[in-house]
Amino acid sequence: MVQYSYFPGCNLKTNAKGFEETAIAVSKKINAELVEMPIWNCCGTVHTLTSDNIMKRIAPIRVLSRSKKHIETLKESPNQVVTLCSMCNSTLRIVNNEVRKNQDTLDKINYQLEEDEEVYETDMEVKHFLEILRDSVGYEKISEKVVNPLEGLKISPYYGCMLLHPEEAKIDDEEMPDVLESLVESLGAELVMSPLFKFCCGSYHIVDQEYIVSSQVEKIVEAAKRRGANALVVACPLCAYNIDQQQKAMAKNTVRKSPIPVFYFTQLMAIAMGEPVKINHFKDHFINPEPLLKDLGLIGRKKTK
Amino acid sequence: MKIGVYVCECGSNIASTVDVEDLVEQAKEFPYVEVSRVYKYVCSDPGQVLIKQDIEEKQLDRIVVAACSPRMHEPTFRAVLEDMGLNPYVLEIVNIREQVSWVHDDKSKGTAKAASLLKGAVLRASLMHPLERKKVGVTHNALVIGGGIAGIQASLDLADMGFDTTLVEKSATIGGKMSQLDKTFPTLDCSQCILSPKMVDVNRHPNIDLLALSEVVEVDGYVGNFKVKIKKNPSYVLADKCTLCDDCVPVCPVIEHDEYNQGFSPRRAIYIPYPQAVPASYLIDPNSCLGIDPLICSKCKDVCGPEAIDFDMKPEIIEKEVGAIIVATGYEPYPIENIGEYGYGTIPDVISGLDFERIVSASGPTDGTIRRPSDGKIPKTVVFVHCAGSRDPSKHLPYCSKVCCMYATKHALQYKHLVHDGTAINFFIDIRTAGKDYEEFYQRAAEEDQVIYIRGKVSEVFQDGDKILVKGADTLTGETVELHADLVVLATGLMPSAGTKEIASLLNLSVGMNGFIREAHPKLKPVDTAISGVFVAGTATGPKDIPDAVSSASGAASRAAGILAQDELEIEGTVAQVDEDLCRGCGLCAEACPYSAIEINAINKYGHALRVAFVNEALCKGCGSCAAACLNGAINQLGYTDSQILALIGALGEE
Repeated sequence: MVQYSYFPGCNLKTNAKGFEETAIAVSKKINAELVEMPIWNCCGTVHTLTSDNIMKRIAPIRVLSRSKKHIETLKESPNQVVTLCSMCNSTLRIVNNEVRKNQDTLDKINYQLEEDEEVYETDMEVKHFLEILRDSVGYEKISEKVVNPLEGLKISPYYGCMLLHPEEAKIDDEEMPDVLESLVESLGAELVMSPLFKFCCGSYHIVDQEYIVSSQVEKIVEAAKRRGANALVVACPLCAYNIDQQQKAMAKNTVRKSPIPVFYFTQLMAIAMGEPVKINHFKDHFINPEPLLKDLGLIGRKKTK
Repeated sequence: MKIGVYVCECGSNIASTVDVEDLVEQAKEFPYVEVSRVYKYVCSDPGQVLIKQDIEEKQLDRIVVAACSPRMHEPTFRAVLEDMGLNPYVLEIVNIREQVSWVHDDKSKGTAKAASLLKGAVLRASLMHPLERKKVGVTHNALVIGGGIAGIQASLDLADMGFDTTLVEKSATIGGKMSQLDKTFPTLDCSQCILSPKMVDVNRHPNIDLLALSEVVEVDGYVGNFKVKIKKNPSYVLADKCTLCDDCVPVCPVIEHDEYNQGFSPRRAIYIPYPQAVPASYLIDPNSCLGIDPLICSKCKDVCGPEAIDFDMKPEIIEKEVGAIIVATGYEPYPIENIGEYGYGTIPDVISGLDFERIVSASGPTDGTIRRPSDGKIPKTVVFVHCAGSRDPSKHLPYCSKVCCMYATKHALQYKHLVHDGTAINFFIDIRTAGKDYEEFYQRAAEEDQVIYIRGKVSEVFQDGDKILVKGADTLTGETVELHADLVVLATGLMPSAGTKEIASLLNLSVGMNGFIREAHPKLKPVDTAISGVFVAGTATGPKDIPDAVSSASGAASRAAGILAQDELEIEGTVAQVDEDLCRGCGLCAEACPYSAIEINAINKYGHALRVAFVNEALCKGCGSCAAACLNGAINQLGYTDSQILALIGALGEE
């Protein structure tokens, strides 16, 4: 069993519990176990990187240095820290690249880390779990583990911004990505391509100018629905929250009365691999996916051998 | 031995950083220096006269000039020496401009560096020997590679001058990309109508040997004496028997996409590329034909009256001897499916510029009615996207493809002429209309024909119902633009063709960053290449419109004729020389030689059975690679012997 040092980040412990629990469950099945770091702190968040301030880089570097220590306790672990949240992934990667290019910045940060008895030596790679699935595990191995093919689910992948941008932190081609597409197909679901796969979800505007988010979400969801999708798959907790929550508001306030559920990619994997339903935490979703899954006979069936 | 040293001020170019007076005084102390002078412009006529007088009066026998790069004036000063009866190779030029004054600020350090370079040159000059220039004969035939408009023009020009010319074309017909175009800017005259007379001329010309379906596979030799191997691929139809009756086509069961119509129409496995094709002959596509090994179907052969079809035809190798080569291998459109955001290849109504040429052409798949590929409807709103692939240094082609502004404008104009109630919208970064009557053409499109121009790039294109949603920016108003179009035409950029890359590596031609063949000088030798005797025409050196391609072809033809018209050529005296007593025949030099100028012979010049290296002086460029590689020190580079180089290094090492 290969073990990976896993950095959760804030969302995975609050509104995206289903994302984390399903990820850990499926990671064991595919021989790429995610083991949570014993001590971790905030990734630093994406928006702090807009200021040229070394203080804002300390948090991500501390994560990387702690992850390095964590690896020593793991089995067959490569020098990689794995994230689930695409924003954490982007932040850690960008800062990792920055200190690799600039020894001076790294020295200053390491000086700050001294009192925690930490030091970072730029020898860690930041990986999104999707990259592990694509590059280290492989889709063939994933489809081998599928016991409950997702027949009937017509899934449109939605990448949002952080998986594909900026250039130095992207995990796939920014115009023609296929990591989520291939994953969806390997789980036996039908793939629905929508042109708005990376159209901004509205992001942080959810806290101050909600109308921006609702108009973005409407376009994203309608584009997918018009092409026949009955669910979306995402990798970012903020995208998931925005699309999920806004659809519920829309169903209440507008003529758009037929929302579609939003899945994290690991939830789809968990269902396809026959993991217990409760680890999905579907009750946290605004649009409950369970009726759709039951209609399609993907959950709630007695297992026949 | 008497050495004359001449230091050039080059106006203030050199004198501002190097103390030339001091340099001249120092030079007087160097060994064998008889006279040392400074002059404002040594390259000028009075400067040359100065050297000539000294040679005569002081009986100088070695000349050292400290001035600009030898690339500039070496021929000038060699001519001076020859005029005075000296061997041109007893001249040494020290570059104290590009390598000293232009790159340093400190005058005292600059002077010191110039002095040690000059001393090295004087010491080297004292070791120089007169060298002999050999003469070689010239084959008065030419080879033109590529049968597009540039290759056609170059072949016709050479043939008209009386040189036997072989024109090699990879595909089944000459005509190139121009044959696919409908009309040409800025006059809107029909492309095929002005091209096909030239194609017919090529076929009829007694001095042109046209080899279609052929590729150059090997080139040996040197200027004036190239030996070329050409592989002629089988067409499986005997051109001299085929009567072009078309009986074979209807019976062929195989249907393929027609390349000439950009895949918009079908063709059979036996076909003629298009009615005006030259050579006018049918051919069989061996990839899809069912008759070529194994023989499953022979329907065409069965109906062929004149028995012109031969399934057993094999490729043949044709050998030619030529004196000069013109490379006219052209361009290919940028693969716009790489631009994910424009959806080419996934959205049927997003097409390329060349696709639009076929759709608008009267001989095209829609007989000249503009119809869109998805449902055949006449589009009412068409968006033309400029710079599709061009001017995008981070992801696609960094350069401007030069012709796209004009052809997108032409497309919009043609569309408006055919669909009067339609709307044509051009998204552009800048409109580049540098050419005779080009600006007027653009003004006409915008003003008389109401073509809409929006300054900004299209960011995304996607299918929205049966329309295409185009998103972009209007950078003049700062607003985002979203509109629905029926058809989107991408003004595709130009990149070097696969053939251009192949031929460049076959002939050892240097290519620029973008893969286009590099000219010998971008401004003053635009049709020459670094290899003497090889010239380049058309878009092989970079994007060009038709007039530019034709004029570069005529230029290349006349440069080639400059060689072909001579009976013999002089070759440089600075070649490698093998000392057979030291050579042990190991072959390291032959491996090191980039010009294949060295062979290992099993017999030496006395007829003894000994393995020794033999240098073909006509092929040797005097690069010195072999001399550096030789472990025994058996190869000397004439003009740059080991003792000369060591003298140079010795002078530079002195404090």
